[in-house]
Amino acid sequence: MKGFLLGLSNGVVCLTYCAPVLVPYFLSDGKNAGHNYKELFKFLAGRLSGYLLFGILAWRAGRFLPQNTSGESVFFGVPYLIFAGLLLWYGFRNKETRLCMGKSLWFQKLNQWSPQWIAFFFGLLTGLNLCPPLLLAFTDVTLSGGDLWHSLWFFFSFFAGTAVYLLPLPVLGIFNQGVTLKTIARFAMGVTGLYYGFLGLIYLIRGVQLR
Amino acid sequence: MSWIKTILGYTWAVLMLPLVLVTFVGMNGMAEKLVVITGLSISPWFSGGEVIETINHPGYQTLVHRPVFEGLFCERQTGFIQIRWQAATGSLPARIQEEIDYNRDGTVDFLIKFNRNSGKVNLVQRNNSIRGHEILYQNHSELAIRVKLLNSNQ
Amino acid sequence: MSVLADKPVTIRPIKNFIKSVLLTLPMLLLTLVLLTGGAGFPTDVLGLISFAINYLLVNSLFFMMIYTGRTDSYRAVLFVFFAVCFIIFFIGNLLEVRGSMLLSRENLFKGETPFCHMVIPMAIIPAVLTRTIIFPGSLLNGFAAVATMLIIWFGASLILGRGFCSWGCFYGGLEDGISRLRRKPSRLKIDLKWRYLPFAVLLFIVLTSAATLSPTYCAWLCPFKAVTEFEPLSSWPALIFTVVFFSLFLGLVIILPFLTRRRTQCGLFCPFGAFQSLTNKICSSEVRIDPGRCINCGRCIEVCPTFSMDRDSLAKGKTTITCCKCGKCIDHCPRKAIYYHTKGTPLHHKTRLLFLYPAFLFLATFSGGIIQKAIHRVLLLVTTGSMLIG
Repeated sequence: MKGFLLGLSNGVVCLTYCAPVLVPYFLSDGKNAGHNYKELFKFLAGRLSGYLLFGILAWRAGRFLPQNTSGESVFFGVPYLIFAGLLLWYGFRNKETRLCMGKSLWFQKLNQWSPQWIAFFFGLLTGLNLCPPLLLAFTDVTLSGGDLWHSLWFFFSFFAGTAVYLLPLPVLGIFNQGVTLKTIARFAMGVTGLYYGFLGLIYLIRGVQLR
Repeated sequence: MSWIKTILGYTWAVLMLPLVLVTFVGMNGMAEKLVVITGLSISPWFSGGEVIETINHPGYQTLVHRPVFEGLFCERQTGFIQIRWQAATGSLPARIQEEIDYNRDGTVDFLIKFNRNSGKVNLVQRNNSIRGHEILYQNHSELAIRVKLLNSNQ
Repeated sequence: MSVLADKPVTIRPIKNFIKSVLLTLPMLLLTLVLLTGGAGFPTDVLGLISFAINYLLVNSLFFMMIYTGRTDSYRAVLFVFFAVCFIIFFIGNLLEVRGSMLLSRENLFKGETPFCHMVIPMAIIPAVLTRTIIFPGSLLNGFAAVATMLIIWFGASLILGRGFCSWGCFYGGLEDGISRLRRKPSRLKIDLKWRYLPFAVLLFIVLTSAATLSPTYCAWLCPFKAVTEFEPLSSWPALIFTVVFFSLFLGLVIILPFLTRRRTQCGLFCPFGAFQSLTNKICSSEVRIDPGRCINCGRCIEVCPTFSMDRDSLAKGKTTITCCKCGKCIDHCPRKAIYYHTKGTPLHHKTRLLFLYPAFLFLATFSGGIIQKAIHRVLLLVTTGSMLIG
């Protein structure tokens, strides 16, 4: 219950951190709100996976994670870079926003590939985002010194509390009219990708410096 | 109906010239009114928040700002309290030490020691909510530090 | 045969000259009032010379606009001059106050950063929800105080709408100038889909600024940090930021405008421009195309600096929402089919002067103080060897 309340009280922060990814994502698909809800559940499933991974880590580490060590910088930097790559690819793969036509078959196949579970990976990678509420949950678990199940349950209930705030976002589907907004949203995903790429790079450089 | 639109259109367009005059002639007065009416202020994440306590020492004073946790919709879990030291004249002393009770519960929450020669800050935590510190800026007559806090109300 | 060839060579009669003088008289009076700020003329010689140069320049340009019927050619002179003067003034001011162009943490946390219009779209959501401005500046005091700039922006949105990008923005003039350096553009073609990028950048910065409660565009992306103020290179992130700022500046403000003769930063990147496209709805003036006169020669599409004309928009008799009302298409149209129009009035009504007076007066006043101070600095440099005051 404590995890849920913690998530509920801090979920607004999660909303503000996830919105730069979710808003362009929902607008870029040009689908209706119903379809967006399906995508949101995939996103949330990914996010839950990320949180549970944190739950295991919190139990295993038995301490407050951010110790500013080289390993931890790499641990957070690499997912950011993967996330950046994914956002950039997704943003620029469509014909409206493609950077170059890419004559090679491999490139064309990559552009045509439309994974059904991309939202899951977006959720997973935003779940691994070291946002302040997650740090707080981490602190709570590690200070309480509970077992694995306690840790997982805490992160699950924390996830449930924060997820409430993301539920209104798929309604953005009602604005999906015409190609203009879709194109803008895809470009926005690309720009968000560059942002995460930059964050990842900073983490990695910090990791190298600490080493 | 179209003639009404035409008249309104032309009136709106003609008003633009006086609007330039109003904008530039009255901008300072209007700016002041804007601040008063809307109650706008600079975000405490930049300004440090209002000063709630001034402690006078021989030759310098300590300015304690309020704790800052403001978020977009509600308070954040992490925040800070900004503390500034200002020399009355000349330089700050070589060593500064200050005890701060930021939550006003009658007990000291942290002790800050600053050595101007080495430029180092030593933070002694007496409260679990303290999460480290950051020197904002320092020069011979002024020093500003932010002590990172965990929001105990959350 | 060229469409220009059948244009009759007109000898401007004396009547046109007198009419232009008469139409310039109100501007002479208005600029006198606004450029002196009601405080009288400068008392020092260099200040007086700076004022005189600015006053004569501004009114000569306005007279030429009326006399020749060309808008962009003379607007651009003042607009580009404004941008150059802004850099001279701003850097000079920084050197006087701080001793360098570097923005230290002390300047930041003491609220000594001049507010810039680029911050406005990012500041709106936090201002509404928290009643605070997410910028390390001063609300009312000092140069470019937040509240004063908000008032000017609100006025500019009503008077100019997106036209602010061609009649007010002190950054836009730089690339406007650079885009005019080559006589012909290179063969480099820019896909029109990139016109949507500024809106994407706008969406991104609005969301991230609300999330982080800090102006993310200023911290991460602003190309004009390269010519205004930037953080000291004391860490890796600061170094990367600086590389980003300079790359964007070189690419979008220097190289691409030079090659393409377009304002690429304004048309393909600037989120404030995208924001002004939205506020343009409350502005009274717009640019329209008369389909009866248009011969679809495509000259306007070729010359439009901000990619605001395409075949679709021509067919509709409109520009796209990114039109900056610079007047370049109007000047270049061989059939005079493009014109300034007042919203709500019949389409054939050409209301150039109704737009020109407030737009030009805005540009002249907004740029006036900065141009005078920049000229003052240059005169100081010539006479004393230093452009710093005091």
